[in-house]
Amino acid sequence: MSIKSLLSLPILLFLLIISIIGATFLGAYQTSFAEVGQAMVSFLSGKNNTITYLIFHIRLPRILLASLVGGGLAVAGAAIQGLFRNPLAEPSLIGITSGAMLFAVSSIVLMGSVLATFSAIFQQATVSIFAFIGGLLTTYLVYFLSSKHGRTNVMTMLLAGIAITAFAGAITGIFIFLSDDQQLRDITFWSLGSVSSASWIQLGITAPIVLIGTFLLNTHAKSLNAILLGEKEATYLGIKVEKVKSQIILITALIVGVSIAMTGIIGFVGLIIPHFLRLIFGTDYRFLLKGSALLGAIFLIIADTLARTIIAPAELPIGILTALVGAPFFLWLLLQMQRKNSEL
Amino acid sequence: MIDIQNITIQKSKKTIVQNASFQIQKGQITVAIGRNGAGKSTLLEALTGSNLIQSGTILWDNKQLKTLDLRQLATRRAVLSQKVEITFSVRVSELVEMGCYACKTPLLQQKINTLVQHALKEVDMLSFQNRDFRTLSGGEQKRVLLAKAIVQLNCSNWANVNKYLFLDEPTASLDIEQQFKLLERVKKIVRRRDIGVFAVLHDINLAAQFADQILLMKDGEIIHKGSPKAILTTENLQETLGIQAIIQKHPIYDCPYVLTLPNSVKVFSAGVASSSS
Repeated sequence: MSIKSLLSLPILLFLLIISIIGATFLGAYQTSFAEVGQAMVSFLSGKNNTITYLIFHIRLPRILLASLVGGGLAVAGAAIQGLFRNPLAEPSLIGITSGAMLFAVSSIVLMGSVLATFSAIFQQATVSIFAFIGGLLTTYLVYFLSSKHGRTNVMTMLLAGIAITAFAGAITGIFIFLSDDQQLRDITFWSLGSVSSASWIQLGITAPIVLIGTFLLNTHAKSLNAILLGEKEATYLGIKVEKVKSQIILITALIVGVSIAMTGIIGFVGLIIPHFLRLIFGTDYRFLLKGSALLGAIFLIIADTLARTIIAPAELPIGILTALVGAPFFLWLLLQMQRKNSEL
Repeated sequence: MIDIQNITIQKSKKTIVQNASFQIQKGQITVAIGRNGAGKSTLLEALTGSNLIQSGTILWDNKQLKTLDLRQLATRRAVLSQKVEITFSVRVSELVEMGCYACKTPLLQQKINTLVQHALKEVDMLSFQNRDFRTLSGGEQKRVLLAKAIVQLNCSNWANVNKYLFLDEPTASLDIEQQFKLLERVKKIVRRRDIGVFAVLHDINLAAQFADQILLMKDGEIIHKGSPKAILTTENLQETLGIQAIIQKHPIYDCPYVLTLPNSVKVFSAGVASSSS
């Protein structure tokens, strides 16, 4: 690992902490230092007032959820790009997103009448569980279709992913066609993503999966480096490529599955964050995975803070912002790199 | 010594190599020569540890190849592939460092750096260490890959284990000077470290000059094997490669020199030829 990338990890960690702290102060209701201090004291002493509630039960959970989901999506994106040796790859390519979408939409539409009798939290939980199951199922299907005799062909997997995505998209379309106006609105917002409903319970479910998953992906960093040279080359270097492949796919599916289940579809993070770091620091996965997790977390915290402040007291869906901010920035970066390369 | 005993290799139920038997001795270079599709590369693939072998056995320093896992194999042999395609940017030094991944015990970064520098120096690529691998020419890439193989062989203990190097058409896409240089480097390492080498080559004269043992292959079978002097004959080359060959003594080296001609040319006597058309 180069010194430049070694140095940037503590810097990224520092920026993450700053953005978590910064984001707790910002919002539709501006809080001062004194208020946050007071809230902290009363939270620790078990007293509850409006500001304590605002900070510890609304803002902090959503900031932490944004960081977990952002970090999770980015690290999963980095690993998938590495595994497929393809800069265009991202978790949605192997069917996770489309499957989650299909199951979420079907639960919103089919069970709409049944669910309506339950509480909002229960409805949301049902959609989440369906999305999670859907993501895992489609990924497993794609993986199963492209494996033969214990070997998985990543090229077949990409193509199978595209086909399954299209098929799931079509069925999703049917459900959307069948949905009523309220359901349609629910579906639209779900597909644009939001961390606004974050709770400590959600965090309790998301945190272990994302954190342990990120840790496990990191243990494959060297293998991903070797796979850069091709699967055969990696085998020559003593890497058990098939084992690495199945583990990475499983971990990514879990991380992305739980992220989508909690927040809906937040696009672009898994694609641009790893790319951004790759363009600056190169492709050593021992840095890239950790760096992506940290920067993805920072990015989504900033995006969410913008989402809930720029048109306050209303809120923008976060998926709009990640693309709105991310895409032009990414293009700018790409052009900069191209200019730099042509000067060489 | 790697003792290959009567192996048959199948790919998609098609027999690619049949009843091949030979030995790869340490400190020696064994070269396989044959037409495209004769089974040379498949043979190399099977020797490097893939599960293609249908029957027969390979004894790797008296151990069954099947019983060695990928990690153990990686510490005993390195492979120089024909071509490596990379989509993302990788610095040359990072790529060469990957040779260390085979090592069982993690090495100190300082030790790794020394190994990498040493290997890059050995292939004259030290000044390229911070370049993106993708921006190098074919020949430069080959040298970097050879450096990676050197690191792989050097990073684990030399005591008690023999080391082997496999080269899949190492001179393809190299200019003439680099072809010689690469094989000279390989030969130097072989002699100094007592490594056993198995290479697939197309150039008969390079093979004649560098090989200790040549395997002439045709349709998946090893038709002739032996020292260059013994087996590079007009008849053998006609039989296995389908070409006419005029064999002379090399003016400089102590090895045969082969002048090859297509079968459409009628050879009247050694060194004199005319077109049949």
